[in-house]
Amino acid sequence: MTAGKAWILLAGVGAFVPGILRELGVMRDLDEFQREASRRAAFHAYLVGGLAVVCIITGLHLFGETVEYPADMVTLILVILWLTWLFSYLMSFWGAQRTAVVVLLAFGAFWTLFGVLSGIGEGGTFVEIVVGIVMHLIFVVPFVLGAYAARRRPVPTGWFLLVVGAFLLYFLGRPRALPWTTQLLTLTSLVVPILACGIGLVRVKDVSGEDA
Amino acid sequence: MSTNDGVRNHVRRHRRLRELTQQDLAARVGVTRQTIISIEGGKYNPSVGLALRLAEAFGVPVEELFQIDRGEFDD
Repeated sequence: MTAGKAWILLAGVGAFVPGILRELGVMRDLDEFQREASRRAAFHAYLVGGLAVVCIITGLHLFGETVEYPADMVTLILVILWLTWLFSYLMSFWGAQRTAVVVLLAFGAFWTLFGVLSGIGEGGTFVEIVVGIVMHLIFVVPFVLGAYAARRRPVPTGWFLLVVGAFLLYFLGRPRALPWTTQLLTLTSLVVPILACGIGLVRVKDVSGEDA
Repeated sequence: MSTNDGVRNHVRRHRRLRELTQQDLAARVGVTRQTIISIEGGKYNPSVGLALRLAEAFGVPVEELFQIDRGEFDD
């Protein structure tokens, strides 16, 4: 898997240009609480991104690895920066419970789309296609259940997500015939959001009364 | 009453007294509803400017809305 130059450019523009425009005072779409959350999230992204880069460089030297696909490496660093910023921002702005609901539903929707397209793509008779889609959709169930339970029972849901995250980490982290950058990119994109939601929910102390 | 960093606020009480929704109050002072939720929940201390706008919206002095939480320092 390689990330196209246009994709990286687009992702970079989308992730960073709005922030630059806000700092320049051209864009005034956030209120003070959102600006503070955004700046705190940027600091978190700086810390996590910096540490990740240091770890990657150290790992490259230590294990004598090379970067086969530089574009993947750049994408990986972008994903780490952006995901850290996004999660920190959402946790500050929405709190852990609402963030978890949105992230889990987004994962569920993504997996549903993937399951339907994959089921159709595999071909066969109508019944085989339907069975294939249903099998794929079984993986959506934990995400939907997690989204439902995150509001009502945040702490047990958090532990559940940590277990799911650890399972995915083990399952996707096993050595494969893939470049290590690609594997790390997959792990970061799929597992980190689930683990982040799990940690956020486990730390919820009380169900806040957000009234209208 | 909510407390954050040694500052307690009575925004929720004043809003309810005036039968305003969080959305109404947010619109009056020019912020998002989420900002009001965070202030009322004691997760965020507003800037001086926003604190003054909130006080103006309720028609009370700012120190009636925000006070130093002495309890945190008196032990």
